[in-house]
Parts: sequence; structure tokens; C-alpha cells
Amino acid sequence: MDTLTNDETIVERALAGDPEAFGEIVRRWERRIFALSYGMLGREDEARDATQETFLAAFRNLRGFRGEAKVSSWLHRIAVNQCISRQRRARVRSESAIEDEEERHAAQFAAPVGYSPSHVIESQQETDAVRRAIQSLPVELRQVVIMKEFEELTFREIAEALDIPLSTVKSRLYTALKQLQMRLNRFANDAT
Amino acid sequence: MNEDFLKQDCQQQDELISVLYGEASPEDTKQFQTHLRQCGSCAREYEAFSGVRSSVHELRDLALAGFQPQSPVQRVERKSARAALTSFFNLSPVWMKLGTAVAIAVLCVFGFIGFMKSKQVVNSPLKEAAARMYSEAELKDAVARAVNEANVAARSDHGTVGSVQAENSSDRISVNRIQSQSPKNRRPLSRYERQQLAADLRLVARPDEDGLELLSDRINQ
Repeated sequence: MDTLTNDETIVERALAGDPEAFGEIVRRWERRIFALSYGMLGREDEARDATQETFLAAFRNLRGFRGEAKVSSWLHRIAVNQCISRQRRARVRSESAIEDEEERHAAQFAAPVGYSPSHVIESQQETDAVRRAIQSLPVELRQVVIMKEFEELTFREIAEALDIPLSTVKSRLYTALKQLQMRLNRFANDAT
Repeated sequence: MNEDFLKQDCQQQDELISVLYGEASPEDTKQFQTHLRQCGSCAREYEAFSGVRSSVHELRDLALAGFQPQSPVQRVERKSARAALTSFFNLSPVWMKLGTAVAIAVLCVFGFIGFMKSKQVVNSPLKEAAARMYSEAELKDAVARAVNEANVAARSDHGTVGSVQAENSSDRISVNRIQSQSPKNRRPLSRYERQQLAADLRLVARPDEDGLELLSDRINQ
């Protein structure tokens, strides 16, 4: 894969002291890492912070990158760990505060131009329901579904990033989709 | 995690997931599509999962729509000097634009004047004389003409100056002696005198002028 070769070359350049090289890695992967963080955390500001922390951690541990895995897998692993740490820290806060933040966040979604208010509300409710459904998944299922749906990684790339067998990726993905389906149906029933 | 409760009688979850995400081989895809036509449970599940995926994609698109890259290493586009000047000029107020225009015009006038003056210096007579090339015949004529003129001038002064100051310095005496001699009896000028005379008359450049050497050999020919 061309990206893999380039990533490795860029990391080598960064290790050799090229100050621009790591910036190139960031530019290349930050959107995907943001998507992963957003999927894992469910909040844009948190995802943004987690993305920055991921790249900072990667930069600090650049010398620890042995080149055994892909750069993307290495970055995803760091990002997942960052998100899990953030969630643990978030649990320390009171549940009510988290709920308030989630509600505030739900209102942050910009309404698309040209849509009626009822449609916008319906759409916001739906996306909010999906976000809550994803957030309620166990971490191991959430990681897989986010990597697949948000980042569009292949089964093999997910397996490498999470260091799990390919069959486990598929079974986790199946289970995640099944649970999402059930939760969304429940949200839909509650709404009506 | 208890995943068993999710499994249906039909044990084709792997194939379903692979086909759903387009990662199954063409043969496996074809086989599973045939299976979907026969298995209502798998067909419903496939359709439900497709719907879940669409909803997740909506959330993803919405989230990424507001994504602003925040690279730690910012891209710095370097402008050319001309572009930077142009943008500065565009942003500056009208009075500054006018002032700049007047300053440029004054600068151009001074530049032109300076250029013209430098041209005049270059075209000075001394430079022209130094730059001019004499042919051998021209040089001889010029020297002879200058000697004659000097003799004529000396003869006109001889009656007065020569007698009154006869007792003066030796160089004056020698000059008078040269001047008093008739052209026929006159001693020819020495090489040094010719060189000196030619240099005095600006017929050739002096040794210290622009590095030109005296054409002494030609003069003595």
C-alpha cells in the first residue's frame, strides 16, 4: 500500500530530525483520528482534544515506534487509549454534568439550510439517538464499529490496529451492529 | 460478553458482514446473495444492518462536516516579495498610496539626473583625448605643429624677456638658447623633451592617466 510506504518514510524522516515530517503525518491522519475520537467519545470538543493528545503522545513516543506495525495502526492504538483514558476521567465527574454537556452538545449541530424546523428536529433526534446508541456500546465493540464506519478501515487494518484476529473483528462488528439495531429500535419506540 | 444470544439459526454472520462491507470475494458474494434469496432471517438482518449503517454515516458526516484541521505544524505559505508588496499596497490607505507614487516619481527623476551626469563625466575632453587613437603620421604632425607654435611664441617674446632676464637661472638660459636658435640651426628635441611636450599638449595621456603608456617609440621614429 502506497500510504504505508509513505508513512514509514515520513516517520523515518521525522526520526532523522526533519521538523516538517511529523506535521505531514498529522495532516494525513488527523481527520481519521478525529473521526475515531468522535465516535468513541461522542462529543466534538472532547474528540478535538483527544486528537491533539493522540498526536502529542505519538510525537513523544516517536522513538518507540519500531516499525513492526503500520503507522496508522500505531496511531489508532494511541487514539483508542486516549479515548478510553478520557472516558475514565469523565466517569469521575457527576452523571448530571455529563448529561448537561451531552444536551448542550446535541444543540451544537448546525441545522442544514433549507430544511423545515420539524425536519431539523427529527434529524437531530435521529443523530442524537445514533450517538447515544454508539456510546452505550461496550468499548471493544465501539472501537470496531467506529474504525469501520467512521474511518473506513479494512477488517485486516482493524485487526492489526487492535491486535486481534480477523474473525474477532467480524464477530465484534456483527454484534455491534446487532446491538445498535436493537437500541435504535428502542429509541424509535420511545419517541413514538 | 454474551454474543450467543444474537446468533440466529443460520450461521452465516461472517459472510453477511463481509458482503455488507464489500470485503467478500466475488464468488462468496454471489453465493451469499443466492442464500439471501432463500433465507428470510438473513435477508431481514442484512436490510436492518444496512439501515443502521446509513444512520451511523449520517452522524459521521455531520461530525466531520465541522472538522477543522488543527495541525501542530501549520502550513506557512511563503509569498514572493512582489506578492507581499502588492498585498501591502492594496491594504494601505489612499494617502500612503499617493505618497508612495510621488516618492517613486521623485526617485525616478533623481535617478535620471544622476545617470545624465555620469554620462557627461564619461564624455569629458580628457577622456576623449586619452581614448582617441593617433596614427603615426598624425602624431608626428601634431608634435611638429606644437613645436612650431612654441618656437613662434618664443621668438615673439625673445626681444624683451630674453635680454632683460639673461642673467637668470640656468634653465631659463637654456630655454632662451633653444628659442634663439633658428629652425635650421636648432638642436632637435631630445626624446624626453618630446615626451614631455606631447604630454603637456595632451597629445598623449600621461603615464598616471588611466594607465595609458606613452607612445615613446612612435614619437622617436
